Amino acid sequence: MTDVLVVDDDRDTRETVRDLLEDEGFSVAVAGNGADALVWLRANKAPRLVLLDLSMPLMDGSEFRRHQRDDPALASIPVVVVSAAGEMPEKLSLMAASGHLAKPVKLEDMLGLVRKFCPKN
Amino acid sequence: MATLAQPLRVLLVEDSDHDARLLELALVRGGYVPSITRVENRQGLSAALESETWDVVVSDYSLPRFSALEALKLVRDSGARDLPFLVVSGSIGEESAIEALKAGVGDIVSKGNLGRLVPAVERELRDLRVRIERREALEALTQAVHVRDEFLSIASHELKTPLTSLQLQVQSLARALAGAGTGAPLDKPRLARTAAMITRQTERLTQLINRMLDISRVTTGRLDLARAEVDLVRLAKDAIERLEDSARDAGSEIRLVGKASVMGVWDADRIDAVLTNLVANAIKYGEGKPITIAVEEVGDEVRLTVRDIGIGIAPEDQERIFGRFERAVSIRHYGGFGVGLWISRQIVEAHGGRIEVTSVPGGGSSFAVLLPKRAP
Repeated sequence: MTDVLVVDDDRDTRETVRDLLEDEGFSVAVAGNGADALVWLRANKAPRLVLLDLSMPLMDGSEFRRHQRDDPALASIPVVVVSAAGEMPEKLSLMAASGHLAKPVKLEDMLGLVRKFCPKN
Repeated sequence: MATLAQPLRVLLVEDSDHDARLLELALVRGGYVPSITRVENRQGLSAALESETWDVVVSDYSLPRFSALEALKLVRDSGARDLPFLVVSGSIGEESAIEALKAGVGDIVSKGNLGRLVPAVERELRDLRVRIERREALEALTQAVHVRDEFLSIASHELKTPLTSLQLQVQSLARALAGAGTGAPLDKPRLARTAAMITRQTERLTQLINRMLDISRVTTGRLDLARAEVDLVRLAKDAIERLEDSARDAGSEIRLVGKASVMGVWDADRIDAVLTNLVANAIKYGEGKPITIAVEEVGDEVRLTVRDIGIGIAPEDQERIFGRFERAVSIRHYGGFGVGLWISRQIVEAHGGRIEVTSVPGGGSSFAVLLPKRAP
């Protein structure tokens, strides 16, 4: 099963995060926007964590989160929100995420959160 | 002294024919060509305020069933907050005068000294002009600050994107060097991959910063072109190569048609920025369909066209997208700097050329850049 679904519109960011997480032994899938992420989630077994960028084309992080929470099959998947720190605190708290990372992300912080939701058996 | 034959629309609140006549004479003697409408009560005043525009209201201090202060209130309540209001009075006590001035009357002129009327009117009109100028300047300033803040917010967001990968890559190297992590061994292939990614992100950052500097240069008129003999087809090929990955991700195929080489004397870096902007837009909004770039010679000019068959641009947006921070689609949906087209237009026009767009919503867009081959 996939450990982490990385949702971010920037290709370089997606690939970097994927490489780094795979190097640490996690299995990773990626999506370029909220809509693609929903498609992936509905077609695959739930990952243990979603790393969600907030500003993306076609469907951004907030909208994705709304759809996810409305769908009983997907609502319980933990989501860590990645913001570029222009975002307002109210917006973030509305999303009720399981964690928050601010760009530019610190590797240790990201690994810490991923390990928390994807413990090695 | 008022300049010769200055028209003046006067709304006069006065019940005495005689006094009205004297007032008119004073204005004419002072160089005005007054068109005076006289009213004597509340209803008359309301009707006049509603039906026309006035330059000044002159009111007797007290009429049988109406006072200057009541008239003033009526004028202000009608929405004419800036309309100068003067009082003419036979004899007004000091306290009443102070009360009137505090209430917002511009000046009080004695009926026995109507020579003072015209200077008072002139001063009121001058003050009004200054007030309006100040208000407009403040609005322009507020708007400029708002635009700047939005720019900074977008800039911050944009800069953080390459910084994110950069920071992660560097930190992962540090971790591997410290012997931490279960990660892949720190071997040459991994080092090469990391170095390539870091180089790429620093290039992105540099490009972004240059764009921001260009914005500043363009607005302060310091866009100095560094012209040299350049092949536009070569520039187009370079831009396509640079955006290759991005195009592939979107599923768009890019074709370059036209002559094998088209020479001209242009600022290669700046024209490159324009090309990058147009092609990147075509990829972004092209819905994965083919993109065509054509370079043709048209006499002393060249025409560069970038055509996509994607979402297109509504007619009402086609001029707006060249605005400074505009985008035809909201920021929310297609993140990133909207300044590309604005800068592109500035650069092209600095070369003596122009950019035009033809587009149909749902039918794609065609951006045409016409450039004289050399400086005019």
